[in-house]
Amino acid sequence: MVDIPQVENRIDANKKISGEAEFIDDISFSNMLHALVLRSPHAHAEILAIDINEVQKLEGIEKVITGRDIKDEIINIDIGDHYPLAVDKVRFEGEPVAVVLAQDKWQAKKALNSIKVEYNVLPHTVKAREAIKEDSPLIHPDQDQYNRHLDTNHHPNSNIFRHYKLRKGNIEKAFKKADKVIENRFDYPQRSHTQMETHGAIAKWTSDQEMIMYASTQSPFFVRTAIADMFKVKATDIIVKSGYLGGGFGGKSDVSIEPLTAFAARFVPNKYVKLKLTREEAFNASLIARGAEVELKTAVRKDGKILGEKAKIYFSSGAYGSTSVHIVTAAGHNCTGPYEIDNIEVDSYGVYTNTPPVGAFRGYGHPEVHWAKERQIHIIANELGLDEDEIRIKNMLKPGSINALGQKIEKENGDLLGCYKKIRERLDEIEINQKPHKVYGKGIAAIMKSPVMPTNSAASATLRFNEEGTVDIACSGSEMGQGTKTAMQQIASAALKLPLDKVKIKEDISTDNSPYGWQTIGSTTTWKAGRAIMDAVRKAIDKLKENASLVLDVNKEDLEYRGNKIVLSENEDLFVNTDQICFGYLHDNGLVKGEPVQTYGTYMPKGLTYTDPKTGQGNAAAEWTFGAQGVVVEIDKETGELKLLNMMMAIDAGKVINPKLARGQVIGGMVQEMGGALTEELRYGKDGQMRNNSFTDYKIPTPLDLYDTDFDVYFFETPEPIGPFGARGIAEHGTVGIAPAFGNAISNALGIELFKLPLSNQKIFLNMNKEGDLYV
Amino acid sequence: MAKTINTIINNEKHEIEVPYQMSLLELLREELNMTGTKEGCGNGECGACTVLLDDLPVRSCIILAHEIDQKEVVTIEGLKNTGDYEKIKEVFMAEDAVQCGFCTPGFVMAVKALLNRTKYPNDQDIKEALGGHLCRCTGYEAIHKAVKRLV
Ligand code: FES
Ligand code: FES
Repeated sequence: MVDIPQVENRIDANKKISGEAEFIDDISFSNMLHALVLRSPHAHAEILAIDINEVQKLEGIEKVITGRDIKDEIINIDIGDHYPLAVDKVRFEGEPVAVVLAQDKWQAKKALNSIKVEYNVLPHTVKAREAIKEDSPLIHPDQDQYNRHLDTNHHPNSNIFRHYKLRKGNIEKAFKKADKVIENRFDYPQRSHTQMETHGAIAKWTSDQEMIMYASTQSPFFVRTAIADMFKVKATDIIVKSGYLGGGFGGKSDVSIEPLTAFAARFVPNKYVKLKLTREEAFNASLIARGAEVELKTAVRKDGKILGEKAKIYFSSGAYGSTSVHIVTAAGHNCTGPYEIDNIEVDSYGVYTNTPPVGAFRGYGHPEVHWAKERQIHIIANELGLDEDEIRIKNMLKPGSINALGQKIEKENGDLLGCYKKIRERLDEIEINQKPHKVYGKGIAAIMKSPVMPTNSAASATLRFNEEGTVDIACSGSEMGQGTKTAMQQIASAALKLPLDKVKIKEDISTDNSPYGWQTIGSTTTWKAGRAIMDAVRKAIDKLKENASLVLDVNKEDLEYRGNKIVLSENEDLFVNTDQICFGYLHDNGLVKGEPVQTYGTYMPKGLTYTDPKTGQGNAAAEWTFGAQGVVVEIDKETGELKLLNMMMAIDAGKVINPKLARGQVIGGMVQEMGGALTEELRYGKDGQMRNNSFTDYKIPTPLDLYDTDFDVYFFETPEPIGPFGARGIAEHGTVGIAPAFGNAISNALGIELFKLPLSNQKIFLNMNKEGDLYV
Repeated sequence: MAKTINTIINNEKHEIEVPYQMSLLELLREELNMTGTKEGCGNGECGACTVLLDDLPVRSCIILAHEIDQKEVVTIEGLKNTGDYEKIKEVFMAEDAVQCGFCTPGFVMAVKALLNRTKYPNDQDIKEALGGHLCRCTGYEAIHKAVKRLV
């Protein structure tokens, strides 16, 4: 096993603590225009007229842009259903209707208020379950005519834009053979990512028809491609730069405000245009998250063996579909949980609703379906009078199992059973200091996760030895707090066998010269970009040996790379120092042997395929990560108030590159998901307007909720064959099983079964005082 | 409508004319180019914009710029010259209490204010000082551990 050199601090810590780290809103240019957006107050309406005449005459207003300025600029990631500005119709409250560009944002604000828009309000729907009804208003009546980059299996004349089917075995037979069929419905409402930094972008078009954009994006290359496609220009004419992000969590992946910023800037060539969302806009005018109703019907035998599972998943995906097509898929093939089930029938639907579009959020479909599946297992155990551990362990995926996709699970995929047992053991050993009027519950959940990505989602890296023997590395992957660049420095240092201070990682990205990387999502950067770095290092070592062989006049094959020097394997006294040859060896007489060592490395996930349209099976998951999570809660018998005492996770990380950063990722993910479990839910009024678009009304976890919580994180290390030194991604996994762990803990504490998130104190209170279960 | 104010910001005297509706945060970030103070909400709900006003922590997004007339402001940029900064930095680094770093300057200011108030903060003091600050990345464990190291 390789020892990974450990850094004392993450490489960006000093800059971030001192406030020097530049985020998008810290960047400005002279002559920059501010873009302010007039947004729809209605969830669904026709735009009858927009009057901008008066506004355009106002002092300081450079330009007012509306949907009428759109020719055929359309955002087409997977489905061409979205313009950067509403054309003729608005489909959610917060949708951009007009943009005002002004030097002075105060003037722009004033101008915004004097734009007059006439609407014809249409009936709306914010819930998938309503939106699939036959008499539901159609949000995209002509979705049949839309251009699609991939067949999403939409249902004509309905709001269903994506239907993913998964079929394995014969579900009806399983139901016939079952001793019991247990059917439940679980609800995971929509949430907001609430990165502490809201989205921002600054764009300028030059007179050469090139666009330069600075953006708070996790996906600069993806933004480049989407914008190039929107304007029908070459991708190389679009330059997207990104630096530090104040949190991403998926909400800054794909595209959000970048197309609108690019579109607006096009009307004022040679001027930078800046669009920075307010907190309110970040809530109701960027991407939102989750929003799934899951029905599970499970066929079980008396002894706890799961014979079959039928699932229906309805995503309230919001007004536009591209950013959630693959979430629907991921939820579909993960909804059977980390279990081997022979008979499966899954239908997962992406449904248009009149809310902001749903996009990726840490966990990507997995938390939604684990909420259902891991609660279902708990309920099955109660109904059969069996122990939940027994059911989980009996059905668990293990080496040799065939998963829902038809993939064979190998030992190298990780130690699920070990993780599960570890969490049970820890839960068992926690002794609770019981207080009067309180009840206590321990809850557990098993998890699995795989990244869902295009089959060609590449990562890459470049490596350059400098004349002094130091190394510069650039690689794909945005830094948004996960510590990716620090981990890359450690990986490179380990692979190069050079001290950390000799290896420097470039932190920002510019699409015109940075190594290509598809997107920074799916917890894949350590795994994929790390792999690309390993590839670049391998090539660099080869070049160094080539140079050394010229200098020492021996065969390259007989040399051994030792970091600071290259030695002859059979005689260590014959060597040359790396810093003498990394730029070519300079002889005393000026003669140079060899060439500067500069290499690149790439990684393309191997063997991925599209899923079969009929069975939904196929090699859609490039890697698997398994783990288990647990919580211990205290509930006040009089008020229903819940307090978190312990939170824990065991995860098979393959290889931990940096224990401190890894722990931070797991805990950060768990606490973020605790928000979804206990307090977070986007609520809409009767008019379809978001009711809680502020931190006062939308409660995320605060320090006070966690001050007395004890955390345990356990890493298992079953090497992943592709990842650098065996490492897997771990950044999202903390989110996956937390909600069901809470649900199961509450069930154990109070004997009540809750089906709908968030598990608010009020909901707990109402349910514990009622006979039977309340679906609230 | 504007007002001329006299103020000391990070030990430097300023006489500036500020519009009445301008917030202190806007004055710092947009007029004086001190971008270390961050805006997370603009509504007094997150703490990212915390600065010291006459030694007390305030949320600069809901203080009007003209309210600092005759008062003294310290921002994250000015904190470096005060004794406690290195100490705070050290514990934040040691515990890796920083992920994306967007909330961090606000937390650092809050901790500085806490140390101004008491050299030996107890749990209650820490809870009061940090309770209203939001961080979406760390889950707070590392931040709490860092601050407890100062005790
Ligand atoms: S920005 Fe001032 S409290 Fe959030
Ligand atoms: S470190 Fe990202 S919000 Fe606190």
